[in-house]
Amino acid sequence: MHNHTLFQESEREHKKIAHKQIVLIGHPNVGKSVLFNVLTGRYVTVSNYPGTTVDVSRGVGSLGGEVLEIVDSPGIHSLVAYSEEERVTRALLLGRPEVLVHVADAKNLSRELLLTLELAELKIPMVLCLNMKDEALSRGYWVDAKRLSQILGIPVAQTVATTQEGLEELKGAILKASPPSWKAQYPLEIQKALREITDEASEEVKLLGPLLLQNHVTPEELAISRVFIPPQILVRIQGTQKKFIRPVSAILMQTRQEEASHIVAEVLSKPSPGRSTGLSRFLEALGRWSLRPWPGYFLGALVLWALYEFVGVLGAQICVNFLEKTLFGEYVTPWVTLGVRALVPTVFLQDLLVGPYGIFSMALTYAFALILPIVTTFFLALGILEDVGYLPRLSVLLNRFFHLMGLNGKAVFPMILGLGCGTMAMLTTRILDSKKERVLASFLLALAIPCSAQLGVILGMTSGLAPSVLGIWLGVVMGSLLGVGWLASRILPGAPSPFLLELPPLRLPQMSNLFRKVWTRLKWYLREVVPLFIYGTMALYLLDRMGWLQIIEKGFSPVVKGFLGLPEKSAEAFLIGFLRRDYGAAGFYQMQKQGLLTLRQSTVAIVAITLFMPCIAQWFMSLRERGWKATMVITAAVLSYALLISGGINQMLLALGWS
Amino acid sequence: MIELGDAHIKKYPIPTTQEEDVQQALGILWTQFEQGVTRKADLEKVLEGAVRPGILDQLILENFVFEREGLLELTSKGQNIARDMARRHLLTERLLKDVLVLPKEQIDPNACRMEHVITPDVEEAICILLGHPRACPHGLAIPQGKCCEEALGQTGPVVVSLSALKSGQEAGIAYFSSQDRPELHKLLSLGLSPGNSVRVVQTFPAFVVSLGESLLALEDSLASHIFVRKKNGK
Repeated sequence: MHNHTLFQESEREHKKIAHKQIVLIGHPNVGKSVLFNVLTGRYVTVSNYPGTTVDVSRGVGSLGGEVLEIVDSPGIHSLVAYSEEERVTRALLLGRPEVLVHVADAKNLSRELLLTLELAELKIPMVLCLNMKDEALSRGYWVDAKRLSQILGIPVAQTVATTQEGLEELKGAILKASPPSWKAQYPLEIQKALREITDEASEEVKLLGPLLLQNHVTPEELAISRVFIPPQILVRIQGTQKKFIRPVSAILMQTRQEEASHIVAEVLSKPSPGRSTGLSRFLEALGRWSLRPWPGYFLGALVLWALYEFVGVLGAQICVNFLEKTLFGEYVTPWVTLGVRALVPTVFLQDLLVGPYGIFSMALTYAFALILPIVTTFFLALGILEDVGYLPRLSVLLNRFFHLMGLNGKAVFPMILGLGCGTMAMLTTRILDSKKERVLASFLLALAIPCSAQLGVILGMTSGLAPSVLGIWLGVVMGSLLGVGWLASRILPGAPSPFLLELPPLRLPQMSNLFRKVWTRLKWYLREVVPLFIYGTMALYLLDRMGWLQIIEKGFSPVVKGFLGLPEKSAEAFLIGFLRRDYGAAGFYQMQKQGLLTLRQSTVAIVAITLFMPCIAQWFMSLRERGWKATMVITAAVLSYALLISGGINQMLLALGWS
Repeated sequence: MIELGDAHIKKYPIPTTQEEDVQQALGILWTQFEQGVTRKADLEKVLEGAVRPGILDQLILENFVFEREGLLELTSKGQNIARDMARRHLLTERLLKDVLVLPKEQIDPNACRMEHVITPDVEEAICILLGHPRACPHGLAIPQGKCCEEALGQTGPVVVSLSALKSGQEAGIAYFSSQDRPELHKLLSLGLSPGNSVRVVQTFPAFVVSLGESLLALEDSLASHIFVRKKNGK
């Protein structure tokens, strides 16, 4: 939650021991994060979709007997800053690290060189790391690394990060990193403009000339930069930019494009047609199929069905049943209760641990027996989908669907992630291109996307009931997504940004990578969830002890009992539902099992708890990402909508004669 | 048609003001005729405002136009020049709007001047670059040139928007029709830049193109801003 402060602390810590900073930079999906882990030993989530490393990860590694700070930057396409990622990375480079490692996709040399050449202008000691050499070789590409190194004037290493092949070569290259000798031959007018802009400026400012000319530097960036850029230069730049009809960035890009194609012609050869195996041919075909309407949508439905079977049935029913009923119900809980009653002195403390609102009996049982199996299966399934590279394909299939809600296909990432954990998903809304889309996605996440734990509990609740209950719930959720999304997209100002996404090839997931990733996410989840469960339970316990819980329940009674037609005790579930949504759902689950809910009440309860407020963690994340104003508006809208719809459902069911 | 004196050494005489007036008036007449305006009284008013008073009498006197029952018609001599002028004017409008992306108020005055100095070769080159467009930005039909007939006879327009391609077709990127979008820079840095070839993988539910070893998904609204030169035979 407090990444910013953590980030600064770790920076200070590293500075004490490391004098040199190495920045890994490159396009999304080229294996920067895997290389980072290999170099530092610290693990960060790596996956096939853009936007995983929005936050900068820093680690410490040793190279040639020297301790170095290694920084993994967000994936970017260019240094011209349009996206959040590009701004972050630009800021890193303006700080002039000691060594820059451009991690590149070896099979896409011509495109990668565009970025290499752009980076080369900064004249920071640099290394070009051609990663995924195996994929390039299997497609029959061969790169003359020696010649490439001569042309650019920097060491070139070829690696396969996932198998650590070429790692020693890369380490050697980093030690030998030197400022690139390559120089772009820009059109004469550009060269003249560059000379004019940086006429009396220092050598360092001159190096930033092309970067400055392409895009106006923001005051925040100036503050980060170690280089002082005189204000009159910025004024001159704005004047110069106006002289050109085309955007300067496009002119420079075209020059680099031409030069890159000359270099590629010299160093890249395709001696063999590639030696594709049966498996790679199958994956390629599957990749094509998964994009087409047929069998794409069918495959998509299959994937969602498998996801449901794995998370909803295996996780939420089979594992939960075993853990809750057998393990906790028959062994752990009785023994712990016995132990606590025997060893803990006062009844107050005993009840705090194992009473009806006890830390063990409520918080830990929910956290480990009910929620943990569900999130574990979800993170596993999500990890596989990410590593396989399926999600970008799903976003192609669903692009038009998301258009109805004023979003584009990219919204698949936060929405699917939101089915796992809304808080994580809120962080991922950053990959959306416009402010309007980020607000919309945050709103829909808060309103109608249930997280995996909540979903698991809800599915558990409906499993014993008539199928019409699940049908009503599904109808309300989908209807809210579409209807409210459609309406909100028309109310919010701004146009949706066009869908543009690079699709990585389908790959087999790597088990070690997958398990480490799931483990990292689980650790994150447990660190967040267990304390919140405990605090929440303690708060409930105290409220109950002081008799306030009954007062609150009475206070909300007109709404809860009168309007929603639920038992008064439900106020508790809503109260703790704000702490964690799944926890709230679990409260209803418990009530249902105790026979406190009728069929109608169960239906209203699952609709209400789904549409109701997001959990407090997600709410704070929304505050951080979207700011006060947007979050308050979202909160008010969600609360009133949830009340209105749940109450409406209650009235409708009553009219239909449901008891 | 401006006659070419010598096929090897091309001379492009700059028209005098007199000639320019005639050319411009004929061009205007063409577009008016296209819109169904043929009454002499109406046309006289239009021409007086746009060129100069008395120009219509001169056109009739010099046998570019003749009058029949209060309606005007072009002679074949007049028709040739009028058609040419209209074609150059409308092509220039397209060029200024689509490729050079000039603001609206700049398009007409510039096109009016350029139409007189554009040579047949430049006219043809512009027409090919634009993919033999059929209509000007205001929706008027652009008279077809020789190059259009040839191109249409073979393969349809050579330069088309990427969104007009079908699955499996290959094309080289020619230019972007809009310059001021942030996406443009992203397209360029993804390698989708003039000179590179793309192959259309599929067009629905979203446009997917392959470019070297990478696959890009993009929306029709973006693809329609990218103009490509179709590869021969496809």
